[in-house]
Amino acid sequence: MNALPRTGREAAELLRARETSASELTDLAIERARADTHNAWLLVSDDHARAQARAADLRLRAGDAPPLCGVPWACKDIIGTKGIETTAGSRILDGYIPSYSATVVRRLDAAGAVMIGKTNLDEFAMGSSSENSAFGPVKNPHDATRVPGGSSGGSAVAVAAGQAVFSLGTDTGGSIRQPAALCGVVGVKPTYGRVSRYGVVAFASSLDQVGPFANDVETAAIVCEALFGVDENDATTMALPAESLREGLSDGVKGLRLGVPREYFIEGMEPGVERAVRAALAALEREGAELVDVSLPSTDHGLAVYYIIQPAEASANLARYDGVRYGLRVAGSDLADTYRRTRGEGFGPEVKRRLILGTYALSAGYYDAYYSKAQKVRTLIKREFDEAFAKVDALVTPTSPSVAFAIGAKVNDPLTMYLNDAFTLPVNIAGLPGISVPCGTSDGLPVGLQFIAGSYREATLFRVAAAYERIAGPMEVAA
Amino acid sequence: MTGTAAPYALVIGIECHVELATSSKMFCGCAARWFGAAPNTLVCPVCLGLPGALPVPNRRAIELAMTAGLALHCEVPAHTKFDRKNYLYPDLPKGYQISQYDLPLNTAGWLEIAGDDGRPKRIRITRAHLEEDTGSLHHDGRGTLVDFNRSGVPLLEIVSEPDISSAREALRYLESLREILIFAGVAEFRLEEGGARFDVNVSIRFDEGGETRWPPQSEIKNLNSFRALEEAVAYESARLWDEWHAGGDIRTRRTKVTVGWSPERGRTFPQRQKEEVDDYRYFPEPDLVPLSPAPADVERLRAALPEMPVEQRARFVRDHGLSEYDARVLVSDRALASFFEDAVRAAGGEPKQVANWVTGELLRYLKEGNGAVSAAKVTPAHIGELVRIVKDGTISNTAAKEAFAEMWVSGKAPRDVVESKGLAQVSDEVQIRAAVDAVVAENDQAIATYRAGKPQVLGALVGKVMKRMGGKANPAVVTSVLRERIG
Ligand SMILES: [Zn+2]
Repeated sequence: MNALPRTGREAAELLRARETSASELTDLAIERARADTHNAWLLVSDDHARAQARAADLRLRAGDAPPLCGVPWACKDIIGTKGIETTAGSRILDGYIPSYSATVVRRLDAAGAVMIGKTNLDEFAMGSSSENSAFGPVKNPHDATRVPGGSSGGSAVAVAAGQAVFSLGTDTGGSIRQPAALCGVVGVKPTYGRVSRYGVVAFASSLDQVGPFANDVETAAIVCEALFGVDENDATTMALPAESLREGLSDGVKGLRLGVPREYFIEGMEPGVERAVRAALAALEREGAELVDVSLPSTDHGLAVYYIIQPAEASANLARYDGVRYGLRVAGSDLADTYRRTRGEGFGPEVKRRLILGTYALSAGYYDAYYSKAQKVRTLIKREFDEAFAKVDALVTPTSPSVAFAIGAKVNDPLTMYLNDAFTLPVNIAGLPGISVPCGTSDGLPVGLQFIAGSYREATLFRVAAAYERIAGPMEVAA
Repeated sequence: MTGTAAPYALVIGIECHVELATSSKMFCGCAARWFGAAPNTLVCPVCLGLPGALPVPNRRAIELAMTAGLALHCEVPAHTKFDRKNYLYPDLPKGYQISQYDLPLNTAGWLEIAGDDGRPKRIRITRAHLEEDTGSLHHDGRGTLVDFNRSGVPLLEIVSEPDISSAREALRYLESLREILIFAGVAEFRLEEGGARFDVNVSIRFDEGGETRWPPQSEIKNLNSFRALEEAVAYESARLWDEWHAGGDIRTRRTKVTVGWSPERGRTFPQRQKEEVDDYRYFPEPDLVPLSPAPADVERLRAALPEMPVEQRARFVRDHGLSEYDARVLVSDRALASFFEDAVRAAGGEPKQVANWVTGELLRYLKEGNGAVSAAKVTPAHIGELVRIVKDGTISNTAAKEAFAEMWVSGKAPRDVVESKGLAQVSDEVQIRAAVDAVVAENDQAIATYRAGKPQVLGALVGKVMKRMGGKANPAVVTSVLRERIG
């Protein structure tokens, strides 16, 4: 065997047919990860992975192993792993080894999945290009001069480049869906409250959500089934009856109403992206979906709302990195000086930018004008989505206005960089589930198609995405 | 003002931070009883503020906080939430404290104290909100160490209006608050274990040249005993007055000053503002969902609320005819008060008699043995029975005390003790008449005196009859037989 299985189903079938073993898949994944040239990995945890693989092989032999048992996966390095360094892509957490694992990691451990290592990302998930990592930028496997998107760039690349069967990312404003689009893989951002955030280094608590990358919709659904569910350690998770996300995957789109929000087809969108998305819409219509023109008038305000709430929450979440208890400490002349030096040297420029922004937005005298007003507009944006979902089963939009751009092209222009997430961040603001699936190419680079569903309607999301995936056919594994 | 009148009036408001009596911390499962534990042994990712840790609210703490509010006559809001209070300090592991800002769990309450004029005075309570405690810093030769055992312990911050007019009223306010919170089962209020701390706002108000002056207050931070509070208020108010007359910065300053209290030096000292924070940048805690207390839950908590001391005392005086003193003694201890009420029920009334037994013999024995009411072998039913058999003449008061001593040791019922020790009174006139005859025969002189118009001699004669009968005779029967015999 010289290539990893593309999907969870293929892996499960090979493992059950004894054509391979978890240990063999794991060795292969480790080898591929070590050979990676895209700076996708921050750490390959061989020993831990091989031990997990041996345990998975025992379970597989016993015959009642769950579907992800023995399947190699990659973990975004913002998700805490017990005994395995977790840096969040920041110098301030360089060398930090968590004493406990995130709930999502424990759930995948329980499912028998094999974690290969930790993937690169924008520092504290702040970015849309994976260039803001303290450990160097990640490169796109379709074109190594270009970015993979971000912030979960390493996890997107690991799947796109065949180094793992699936991976986990976090999505605060598009950090799973946008890199999925730019790397030509499937990426899911679940409904806020579906997946525990316990043990995931917090960025913006009311927006963060963990989700999977995979090469196909079904694998993403299998992973979501393992992740979903209330967690007593996360008070924002919802207790809902377990449901199958795979049952409806072959139901198709015939008779479904798909909303096309006109505000998502903006000027400045790359023509190649628009062409690919329009072609996808036409194909969905041919399959029997009814396309409905809808309007989400507050979409324009999404970016402003997001860039108030997200940095505000981050400014509090990152206050704990003070050099007192763990991570980097740069001693100064007194306590205040130690704080200044530690944070000054520990955080990169984009993180500092957002901390300043967030601190400002919460300051006395500005709170009402910024944070408080942003929360009001947030409510408005949610309501517009609710109204849309009273009329349609799902929304279809481009995932990103552009394909992968050149490394360095936008790094000094934060506003242009932030626009990358204009189509994805409203979904986080409203707490909705969204998925990006590959939708052809533009100039040889992948384009992503985003579906959005109502709260806790992931089953609909997967059904529509799977239908489109059958139309589009599989994306080639990148070099 | 009490004693010598000061040339100014005092205006005092108190913020009391009290630890709630939960077994676990506010947002994690760690034990909340931090006092005396080895440093950093009661910690977990949540109360250490490790990356990725999330708070999970302690339902019991929320219930206790609401119970406290109900006991303090507070209003329960329809919606309440937690907020983050942001500041950096090494004892605050997350860089923010989870507290409550604009929608506290309790608002607009009051409690009643005796004012300095002796009349009841209501002190209004602005709010009482929940928050988590911080860790604690320890300085030694090597530098400063942080202990996070206390981090995350649930605190209720009770903020009074500036309705308090003297240090004595401040003490009475805190004593009353303490009594209510302990009675309600909300807090243990162990000051010696850091179970409560106070921030006190003091200002002085006076007339000067026909104008009222009310310069900005001082906030005295982190007082941890009633005595410190009393001394600090006295010191700081005098200091403000002196500063005014020395033409100090108090004359022009518009904002309050924050000071600490040094009990060793007996003086306040200006406190460095904690990282110059006037602005805590509060915002709603996104890791926790807002709460809407269900009216049914509120009513359940209200129904479970015990009668508060001030009300119970009043009822004991009104309904049981007790003295203020006895009422105060009984109500000082929740267990003692309920022992008393149970005993009254068992006695079928006779509250004064029951109170005599409880505040007399029972308390005396308890004090000698250093024991708790709940551990005593004597039960309310026993006291009830004892009162009944004294009343119906089965035994004398003196014999009852002897019986009590035996009951205290053995835990036997009064009737069993009376029987086994032969304490029953003799009311049989034949026996009594024989004893009376004997006494009369031996006391010619006393009888002559009695007959000469000195009835007070009768008591001594009754005593002699009683003695002759080993103290078991019914004194009423003895008296009437004796009168008849010599009268
Ligand atoms: Zn804890």
